[in-house]
Amino acid sequence: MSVFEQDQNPSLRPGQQWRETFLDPTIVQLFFKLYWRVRGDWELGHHALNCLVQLASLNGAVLINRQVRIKYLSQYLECLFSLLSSTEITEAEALGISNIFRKLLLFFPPSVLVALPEEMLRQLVDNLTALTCKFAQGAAQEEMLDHEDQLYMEAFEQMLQSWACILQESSSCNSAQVKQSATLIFDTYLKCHLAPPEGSRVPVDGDEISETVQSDRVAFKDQLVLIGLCGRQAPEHSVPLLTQLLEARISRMRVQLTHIHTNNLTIAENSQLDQLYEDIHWLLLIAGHVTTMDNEGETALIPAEMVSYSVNAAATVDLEATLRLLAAPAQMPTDIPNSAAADPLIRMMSTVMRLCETESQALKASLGHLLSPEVSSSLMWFLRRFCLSYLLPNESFYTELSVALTSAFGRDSEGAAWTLNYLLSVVEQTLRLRSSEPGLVEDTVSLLVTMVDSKERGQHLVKTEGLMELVQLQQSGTLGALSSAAQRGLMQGLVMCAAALVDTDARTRFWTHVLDPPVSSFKQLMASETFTKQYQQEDMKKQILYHIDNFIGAVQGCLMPTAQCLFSWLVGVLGDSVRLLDLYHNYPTVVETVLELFVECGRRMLCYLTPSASKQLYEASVHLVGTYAKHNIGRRTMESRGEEDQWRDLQLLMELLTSLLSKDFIDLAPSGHGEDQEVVAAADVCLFGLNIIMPLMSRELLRLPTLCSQYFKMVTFIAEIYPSKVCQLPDELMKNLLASIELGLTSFGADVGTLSFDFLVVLGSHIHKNCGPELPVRQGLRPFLKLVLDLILSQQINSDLLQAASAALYTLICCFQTEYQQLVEALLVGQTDPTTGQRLAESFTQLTTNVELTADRINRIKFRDNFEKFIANVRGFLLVK
Amino acid sequence: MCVKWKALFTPTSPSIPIKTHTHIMSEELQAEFEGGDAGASKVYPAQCSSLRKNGHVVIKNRACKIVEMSTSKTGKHGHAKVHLVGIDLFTGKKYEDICPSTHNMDVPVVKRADYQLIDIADDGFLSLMMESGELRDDIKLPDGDIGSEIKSKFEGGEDLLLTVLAAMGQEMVVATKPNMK
Repeated sequence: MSVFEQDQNPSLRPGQQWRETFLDPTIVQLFFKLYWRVRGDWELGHHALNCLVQLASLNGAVLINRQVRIKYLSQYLECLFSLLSSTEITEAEALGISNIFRKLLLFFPPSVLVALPEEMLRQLVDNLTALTCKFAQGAAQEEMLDHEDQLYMEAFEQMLQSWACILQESSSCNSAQVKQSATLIFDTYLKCHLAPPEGSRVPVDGDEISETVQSDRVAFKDQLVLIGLCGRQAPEHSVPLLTQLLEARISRMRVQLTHIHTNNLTIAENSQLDQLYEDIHWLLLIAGHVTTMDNEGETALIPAEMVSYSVNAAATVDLEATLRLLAAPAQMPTDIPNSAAADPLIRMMSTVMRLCETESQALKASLGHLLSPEVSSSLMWFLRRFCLSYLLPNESFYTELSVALTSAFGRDSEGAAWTLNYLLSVVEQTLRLRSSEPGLVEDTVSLLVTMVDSKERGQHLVKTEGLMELVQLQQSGTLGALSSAAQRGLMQGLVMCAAALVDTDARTRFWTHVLDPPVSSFKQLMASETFTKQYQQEDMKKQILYHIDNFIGAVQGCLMPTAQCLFSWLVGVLGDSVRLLDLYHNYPTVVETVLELFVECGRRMLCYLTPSASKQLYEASVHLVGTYAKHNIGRRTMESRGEEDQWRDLQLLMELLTSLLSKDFIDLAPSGHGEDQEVVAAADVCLFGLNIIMPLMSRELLRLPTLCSQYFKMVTFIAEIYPSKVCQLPDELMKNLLASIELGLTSFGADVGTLSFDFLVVLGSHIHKNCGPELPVRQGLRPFLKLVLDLILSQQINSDLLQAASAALYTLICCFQTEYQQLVEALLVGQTDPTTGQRLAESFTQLTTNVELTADRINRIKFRDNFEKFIANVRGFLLVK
Repeated sequence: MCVKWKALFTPTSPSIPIKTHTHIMSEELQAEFEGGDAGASKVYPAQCSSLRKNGHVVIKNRACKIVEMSTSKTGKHGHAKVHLVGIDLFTGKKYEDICPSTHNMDVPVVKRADYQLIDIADDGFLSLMMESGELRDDIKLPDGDIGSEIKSKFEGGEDLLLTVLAAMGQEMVVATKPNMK
């Protein structure tokens, strides 16, 4: 029930006494008639339609058994069909009608629907299909006209969701009809997204698009997933259709590019190309969703429909022609003998590779400016999904795989090795030649990371030529040939590969190729005399940034099996980086990049490191923080620092401290090497860091949201893990810290408020158990009792925060019981109205009833329950006053 | 010499043979610097996409610090353009520019150095000691809060380090901190 209740319209679930009423056919008819009468009137019509939506969700005690359910459903459907057949659905009704279908399918799933008379079921599916297609077209119109209210779009998505109910349970309905309908919807959707003559899409315009606009892949993800599901109902229709449409457009693209190239034409020709690109972009998105499924955390599998499609096609497939087609992306299918008999799925993949090849040829002919970064991004996305499911699949997951698939992409197949190598060359080329497109670089890096993030693929990859080319690219691109993101991503991918190597020798050899050159060239640079003399020169800075970007990438590629080894390669670099921070303290780009390197180490490596390696990282971090302090304490600058990004160094420093602390939560390091458990520990680094950061954090700085939330996250985290260390902070520091917490309670929104209350809870609990009354920290915390109580009574605390506030109040009461008594008495004395005073006294008594003041979790929860009643009571009469 | 040095950064000439090891490249570059007046070049070109936030760029012939960087494109299949918002390093004025991400923009050669404050003359000129021990007295006390802060701290007997920023022929004190030595 609760799932449905999140809906705007909760389902209709009347009690048993209503049974007669709802089962009376005239009731449903009455509501439909009512709607028919008022549908011209927007406001009344809307309410009447909502009643119909409600009736479509009837469930519970009134529909006592299957027979009754069917009877009610038939009555309802009869009325619905007669409504639908008497009129065209208007735009204003679309959403309501789609809602009716969604509710119907939710509350009368296919297992119930099959009991309907055959004709009625047929009619239902027909109506569903017709409306889905109609709404799809309406949605496309809205897109074209740039409508703000996308009613059809929403209605279309609701209809697709209704279909999901049917398609996922398709065995229970008439599968031939369902298949036909799914195909019709698939074709309609395709048409809406293709340019004429095949489709009905209007030309894409040349508006300015900012980076904040969601990509189609994200914005239309839900519908693409369901269209993919529709497409998979009849792969023998959808796969060849998509392939053929793609092939035709790729040919046209090649013709266009050649035409422009040979005639030396300028970009003016682009509008035609833009239409082609938009087509190809959508075809890739749709094909990607038909042939693969979102795996989100689970092992990606080849969809069952695709597996059996390829198996069923096997009888007529010419295996040799299939493999030849795959291996010849530079040739057109017509040039390959018997290509018509290739496995249709592999033919689709080979078509996509042909697109890669076309782009690659264009780049070689210096036509890169004519390519569409959007299409290339979608291409990388497609290849990534393809890689996940099809390339070197774990064959034990499938009862049967076609010979075509296993020979093209299976383990030990030449096809898989060829494909991996080919994809690597695509990655290499994109990063090398197109690194000025940030979105494309991001998608290319994710393709690379996906390729290397599997033992099977990794083991093949390290043997390929393509990988060596990547290594060369990585080591050649000094002085900004690659963008920083590309450089990092490339290194990340390369380093991840090492995890696939089980053999230690092989891994060492691999490191020698991949890590040795950058590390030793960095060391050489640092040791050279010219560097010390000329470190301020721009080219030196560039080289330094290039090297650190590489190391950041390497740390990002760290996986459990390689962490320890990688760290031993990089530990020297960390020491040198501290020196860099010292030299370049006046150059924020270098400072921030060095800090990023440490943050990544803390985030991605620390949890896998042995105690002694962790200690090395802590020590390096202490040095880093000390060096940062040396140059920043007492520093006053006139450079405009109002903008948030100007404080990135400080934020990174806090991130570093927070990530170092996390080792105490998540420690996956191999343990018990007989090493002494040294606790130079994260705590010391953190407190040392806190000493540095506190004087730099001003009230002004806390107004910057990211800095503010990072700060409160950090201090609460420290207090949670090392409360005793926090208690021993020097007076001045403690004062500042508590002052910032006081500010945090009310000034910066709910998240920071919660963290600040949490801080009081963790520190208070510690004090209650461990500290004597004379300790300064206890004195420092004392004023918070009155503060929190006042905040609560004066209703300055947002209701989201009440739970956190109750925990803080409870802990503070435990710590300062006498003060609490005094405060309450003072409050009661201050009441002029005796009734209010009486009620307040009762409420306070009830607040601590049955709660022991021991500052533990169980009592904190008991207190919370009392507190909720207290709030409801007290707010009631204090508000009146 | 400068021309050749520049050419190495120019992405429009990707045909320049690139050596496989960085240190070789750096030696070459270093060789070119030796003996020459490396400071002669006030700006150098860099591909727009390689600029970093908090880095520097020349906008409207002023040396700026990049405070905002975002990309956009004209039409769905267009190429990335970079929007830059820069703050003049010397005046704090805001400038904006937009540039295709493959194109080059000038980046100012920026130096920052910490000098020890020795004296403040009556006309506002500072006497600063460089790391080498040499004295300079051609830089003025900056206007505004930081100027008065330096003055009052100095008069209060504090030993101060001043950060001097130099770019495109201009120099200015931009920060101060206590001398910890």
